[in-house]
Amino acid sequence: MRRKLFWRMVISSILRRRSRVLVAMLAVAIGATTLSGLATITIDVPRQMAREMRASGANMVLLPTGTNTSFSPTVIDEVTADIPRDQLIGVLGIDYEAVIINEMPYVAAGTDLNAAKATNPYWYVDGEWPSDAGQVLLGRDIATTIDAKAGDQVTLAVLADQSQGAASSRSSAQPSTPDDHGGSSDHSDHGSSDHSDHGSSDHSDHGSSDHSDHGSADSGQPNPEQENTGPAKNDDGKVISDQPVGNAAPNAGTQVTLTVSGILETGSSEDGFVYLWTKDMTSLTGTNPVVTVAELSVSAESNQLQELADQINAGHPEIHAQPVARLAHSDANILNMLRSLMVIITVIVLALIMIGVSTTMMAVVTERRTEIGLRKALGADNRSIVTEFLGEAVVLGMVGGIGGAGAGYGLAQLISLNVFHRTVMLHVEILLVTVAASVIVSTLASFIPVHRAVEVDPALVLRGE
Amino acid sequence: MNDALLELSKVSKIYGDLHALDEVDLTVGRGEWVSIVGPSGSGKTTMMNIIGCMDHPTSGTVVLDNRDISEFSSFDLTQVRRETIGLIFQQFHLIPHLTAIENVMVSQYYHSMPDEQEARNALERVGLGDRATHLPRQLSGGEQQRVCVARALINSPKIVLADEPTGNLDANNEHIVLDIFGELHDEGTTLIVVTHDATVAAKAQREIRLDHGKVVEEIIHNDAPQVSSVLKEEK
Repeated sequence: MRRKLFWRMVISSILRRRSRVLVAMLAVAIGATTLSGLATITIDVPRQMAREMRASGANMVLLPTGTNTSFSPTVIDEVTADIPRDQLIGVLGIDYEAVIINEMPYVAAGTDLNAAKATNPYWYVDGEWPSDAGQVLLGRDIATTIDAKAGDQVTLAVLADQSQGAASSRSSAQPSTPDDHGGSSDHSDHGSSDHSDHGSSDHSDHGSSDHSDHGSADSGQPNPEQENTGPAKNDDGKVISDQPVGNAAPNAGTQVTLTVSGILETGSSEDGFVYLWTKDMTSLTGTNPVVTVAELSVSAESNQLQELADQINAGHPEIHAQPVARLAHSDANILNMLRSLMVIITVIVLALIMIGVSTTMMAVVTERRTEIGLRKALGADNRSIVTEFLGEAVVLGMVGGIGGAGAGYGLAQLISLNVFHRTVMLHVEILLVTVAASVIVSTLASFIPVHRAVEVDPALVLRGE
Repeated sequence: MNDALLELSKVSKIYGDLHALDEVDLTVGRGEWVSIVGPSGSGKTTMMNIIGCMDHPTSGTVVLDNRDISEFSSFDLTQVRRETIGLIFQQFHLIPHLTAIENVMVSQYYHSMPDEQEARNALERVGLGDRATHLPRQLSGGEQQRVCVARALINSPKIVLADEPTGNLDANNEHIVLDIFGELHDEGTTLIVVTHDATVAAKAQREIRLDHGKVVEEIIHNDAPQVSSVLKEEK
């Protein structure tokens, strides 16, 4: 009966001051909405964000281990089979080879260009992406050097020492399943014949060049005038070809003529590369498709990515998986910044709620001074007064919190749908934490008003105030 | 056991230079009905606050129910007030969002355990059994004051302090309330009534007149109800 009367007093007190309490309840509800919404987004959206950010390029590379310069494309299939489908955004196996264009050495990347486009959507192409074999994407730097534009024909020749090098080094990494592009095309005869004709002819000149001098290799576009004779590397310091492009000479017999479909501009090392279909690359090299580097775009945070790399390395000794630290850390930093931002916003919102609730409760205490005095005159001690006011604060926080938590989920859903075009999950724990936080905040906010309440002099009821 | 329920000895209450009460001596016997009269500023309310355990005297002693409460802490005074005193106010001071019966039960709530049937009986005693579920705004002034009386009586206090209990009532309701006081007195309840109304004051056995914080006159009303038979037997 005592408890029943207590809640009867609390509820009726709230209902009697509907408009005033409604304002405080609304403040709590808005805070709870923000808290619940941001918490849902903070927990759920980083996964979405990670996927979106993966569109900015690969965040893991697979490189051959030991003395191998390449590995079979089937290894990529094996690796990707172990990665959860929803985490794997894209995968790209690339065969980097040194080629000669207009008697100048460059790096050619033979790959599935559809996959390259999907993995690197931010790449700008002046013209069209190559739609089929026979078409090539020319880096901006090369296009400028050779004065080529979309629609022009370019002739790529394989380096003289490469045919021999490829023949020897790839003997241990022959693909068991040829690439889809590898078996067809009229370039195959051309490629293989050239390869057999010239593969060994220039080997004596260049085949023994210093592969060990990797440390002095420069990154970016190969330059015919540089003295560097080490392997080509990209901006990340990643070895993309073991061919000594700096002082290489063309093998006049191994060449293909391709049509430039577009000029690639990335502002990075890709501007110095030639991108061609795997089929054209095999025609040029005269070998089965191989992969010198595989780029993976995985939706995972920095530590998860490292775990995945360790897992791949343990299961596939022929390759070395390595997260691209720059991108992985960048992703993590962005997500951490977003989380920090949301925490700051949440703290500010909670502080504002406290002010709102506190102000309202203060007004309620002022309004109820006589009633408080009466209760004390009737024998209420300070603890009873505190309990009653905190009871009101708990109800206020509870109702506002429940409403706000639900609205917060709706808000998060709305934001996620509009921004990420995906739905968010309902996290029951977030709803519970939101309601608890609302109750705690409204209770804390009531401490000062309650302190005022217990100071009310019971004698005021006899003074007729 | 001392027959006096309340003893004030040289009680003073001083606010700066103002002597709200100036060495007042007053003794109220158990079951006695005393009225306190006097002009505004005479010290009536200050005396009520001290007797009602809501204020401390600056000097002097206050013995209530054989306990010297002069030096009691606020917490202890609350205990004494809760156990010993029933309060009736001029402005009724009912909690507006609670029904009549709930207002009565609030007093039980702070005293011991709310009992709806007891509260209903208290309301029936003051003639409001059928108005138990009405909110204060649905009751007339007289009815509200009767609820206030029921609330003051619900815990069977040893002393009832009434501050201008008929000040806001019409003649008819004043009559009803005074009749209830008469019944309480007959049952042995000690009553101290502060009033401006000579009629109400004359109902008491003893009338104490205050002026400038001093007791200036004491009148015995022979035609007032005498001490109840129960009390007489005890004596």
